[in-house]
Amino acid sequence: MFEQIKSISSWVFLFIIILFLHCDKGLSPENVEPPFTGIRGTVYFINWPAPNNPPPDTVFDVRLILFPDFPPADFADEILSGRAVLYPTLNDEKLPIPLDSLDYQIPLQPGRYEYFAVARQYGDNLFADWHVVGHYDTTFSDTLPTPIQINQGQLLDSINILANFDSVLFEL
Amino acid sequence: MQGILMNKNNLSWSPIILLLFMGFFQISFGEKSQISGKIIDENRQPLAGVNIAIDGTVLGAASDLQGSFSIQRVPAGPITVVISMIGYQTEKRSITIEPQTVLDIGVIQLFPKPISLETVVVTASKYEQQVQDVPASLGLISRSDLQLRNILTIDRALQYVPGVNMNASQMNIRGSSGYSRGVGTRVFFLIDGIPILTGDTREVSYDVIPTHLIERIEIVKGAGSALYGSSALGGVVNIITRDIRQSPQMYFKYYLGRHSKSAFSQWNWSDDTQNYSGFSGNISHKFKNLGIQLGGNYDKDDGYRQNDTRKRYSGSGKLEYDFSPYHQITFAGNYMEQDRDEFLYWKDFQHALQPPADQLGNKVETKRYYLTGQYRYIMSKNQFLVIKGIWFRNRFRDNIANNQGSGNDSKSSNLYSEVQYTSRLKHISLTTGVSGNADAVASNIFGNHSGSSFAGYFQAEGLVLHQVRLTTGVRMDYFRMDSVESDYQINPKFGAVYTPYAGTALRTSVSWGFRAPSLAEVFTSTDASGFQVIPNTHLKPENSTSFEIGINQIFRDHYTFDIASFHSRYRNLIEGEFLPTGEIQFQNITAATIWGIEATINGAFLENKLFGNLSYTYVNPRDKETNDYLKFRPRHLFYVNLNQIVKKFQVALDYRFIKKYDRIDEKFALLIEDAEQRVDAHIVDLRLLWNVKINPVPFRVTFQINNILRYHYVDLVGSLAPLRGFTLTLETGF
Repeated sequence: MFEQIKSISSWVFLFIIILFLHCDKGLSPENVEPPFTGIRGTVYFINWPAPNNPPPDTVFDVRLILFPDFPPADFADEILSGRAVLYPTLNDEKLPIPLDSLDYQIPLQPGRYEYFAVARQYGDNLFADWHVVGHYDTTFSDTLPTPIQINQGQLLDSINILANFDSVLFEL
Repeated sequence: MQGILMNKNNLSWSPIILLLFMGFFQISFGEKSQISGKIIDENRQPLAGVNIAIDGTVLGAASDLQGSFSIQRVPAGPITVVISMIGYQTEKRSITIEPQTVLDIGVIQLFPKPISLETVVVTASKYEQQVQDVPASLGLISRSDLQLRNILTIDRALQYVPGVNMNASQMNIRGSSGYSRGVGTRVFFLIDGIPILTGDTREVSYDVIPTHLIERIEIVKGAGSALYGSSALGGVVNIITRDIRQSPQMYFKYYLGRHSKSAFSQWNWSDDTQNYSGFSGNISHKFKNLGIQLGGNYDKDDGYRQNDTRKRYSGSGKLEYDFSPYHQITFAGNYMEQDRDEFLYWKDFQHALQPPADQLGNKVETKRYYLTGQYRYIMSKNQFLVIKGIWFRNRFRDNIANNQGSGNDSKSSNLYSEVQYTSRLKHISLTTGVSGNADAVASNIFGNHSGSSFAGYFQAEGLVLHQVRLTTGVRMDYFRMDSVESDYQINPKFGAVYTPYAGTALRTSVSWGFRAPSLAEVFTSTDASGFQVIPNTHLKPENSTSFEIGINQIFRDHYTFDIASFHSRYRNLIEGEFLPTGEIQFQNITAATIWGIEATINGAFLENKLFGNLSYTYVNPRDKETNDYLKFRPRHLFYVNLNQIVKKFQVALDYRFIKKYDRIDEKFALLIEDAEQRVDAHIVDLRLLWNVKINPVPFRVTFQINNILRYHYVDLVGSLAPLRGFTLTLETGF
């Protein structure tokens, strides 16, 4: 009888181990953050308007924006529909302006972005008073922006932009 | 002309010498007799497969399906018949044989005794010893262990041994080995006491010895260079093959199985199922004094990973000739061919079962063959002489792109011979021997090189005060390699076993070990799969010193308990090191200390219908240069095995816990995506066996599920270990 109890308890002990372990599958691809997909780089700012200048030289806000098309469709529609990517997002705090430079890293969905711009809000209308003071352009022979192609798991580095508050490149 | 004449002269003497030898041996055979008998078990049923040996001779037999046996050409006079089988108590019968007679020694009943003081091993001292007389820790794998687990290659069997884990294909005993990219084993491998290591990399070829030929595997833990020389830093593994039986024997096995898919759909790379199958068989028979054994096997595996298929076949043979009851010569050989895909590491963790795209289609063809010869001369009951040798040839070719763009092709040979003489005086056993070894390689990776070594050794073991057994020995090795300076090593050992009571043995030992660098480590020059390796002709041997103290206790023939504490120091350890320029070079870079404890418990209950064992090993492997953990050493191993017999059925379960590595080679992260991914391993294997007899041929059907939990873990870096596998096996033997 004592021997049989030992037999049963041995197997019970092992099956408890198995049950205990059953839920754990060890390594799992689901526990791993997917590789970062997006861009990063630096925006250099020059010619900030004087803080005490009256409108239209006032800077209410500065954001980076990626549009799927160029020229972009209506600014407000693109932002609200989520087709354009805003950095910082509307839920995030504004950039602490003025800045000499900004190091950024923006997560993106894979795809092609035709226009990557630095936009300045020059009036109090959040959905209308924006123009572009700098955009990503690797070709100096023209003023057209350079599109960005992002693949899954790809991080494009050194996407740098010069933002010049003395020149308006595009009205949004 | 003179040369031809000399040859003629030699030839003319040959028949005379042969006749003289034959005449001498005929004298020994002159007064031959025969003994026979029958072995039954505790239920008075015939017991097959029992070993019957005549002490002090080379004569022996095994019982057949009816339990019967007979031994011919037995010398007249007093003899001792030893009847033994693993799991049963050993019986001895002293009888006197009259010349020219046939003697029936009757029915001998054996009773189960799974844990026995009389278990005999041969590896620790190069002659037979009882387990408790050995001053070192031992591991044993029996033939039934191999069969019950459907073991196809030896590395799969070794992973169940306490204190052992496999780093991919490299064996690690108590932290002695990390991962050295497939070169330079720190565990010495033998087949029937003859070294079997490749001539180029001095590595183990686990697939070259078919497992159906194996009787048992003995593992001695700790440095063993005082008897075995180079490579025995961490331990010694000796594969003992089956004897040829007097009665005709036949064995056949067929198996088929399927790999499970991964638990995660992201990792599954094919909609097809991945299967494996194979068969093996062998026959043996002894015709008077000539024994013949022939065997073969075929294995095919689709692999659970992409680009991981494998096909292997081999044929083996053994010839055994008894010149007399005291002289025996044996030749054995095996030829193996294998075609396999090469899966080195994963593409990335999201594609863990797929290789990088540029490694798809990588293939390796391997041919390996060996021929061993062994002559045993039992000069008297207390003296014997063994002359043995091996020729081991390897060739591999692959299509892996390298800097020459043409794939790799390497041929290597190893030639080894040894003469051993053992004498047993009243309380002292003396063993001495000399050996020679030659390696040669012709390869586009290693170049064309050769190396050789010579050694002499001596060991004495004696019983002092009836309770203390002392062992001491020393070996000197001289070795050289072309274009590299020659070197020598002297390695001693000391051991003591104190047996205050029957069943209790306290042991302690200190032993030295070394490993001379292999031709591959010195001369490798290749660039493949992202790794560029460059030669180093200034490599020195690596050394170790092992100390162990332990106790082995047997309780009432039903339980054994063994606990050991060990401490090893390593110097000049050779590791593949990434240079600042990005290449890998083998260098003497590390000194290390490893200490730890190991405890094992074996037990048998329910009248030996339930038996199991449990082991825990802790090692603390420290790199003295960096004051960090050594790479690729798990610090905790916990293994459990349980078997229960219920009438014709047997259910068995293995559980293994392997702590994840504290450190890997961080430089791997430069080449392998997500190289840091690793977890503790929990592996559960389950087996169900059914023993059935069909008029009156015995069959065994086994259903086996390995890694039943489908637990995902890495067996190295960037390499998922085998997923769950279902296997059905059919075996028969008579």
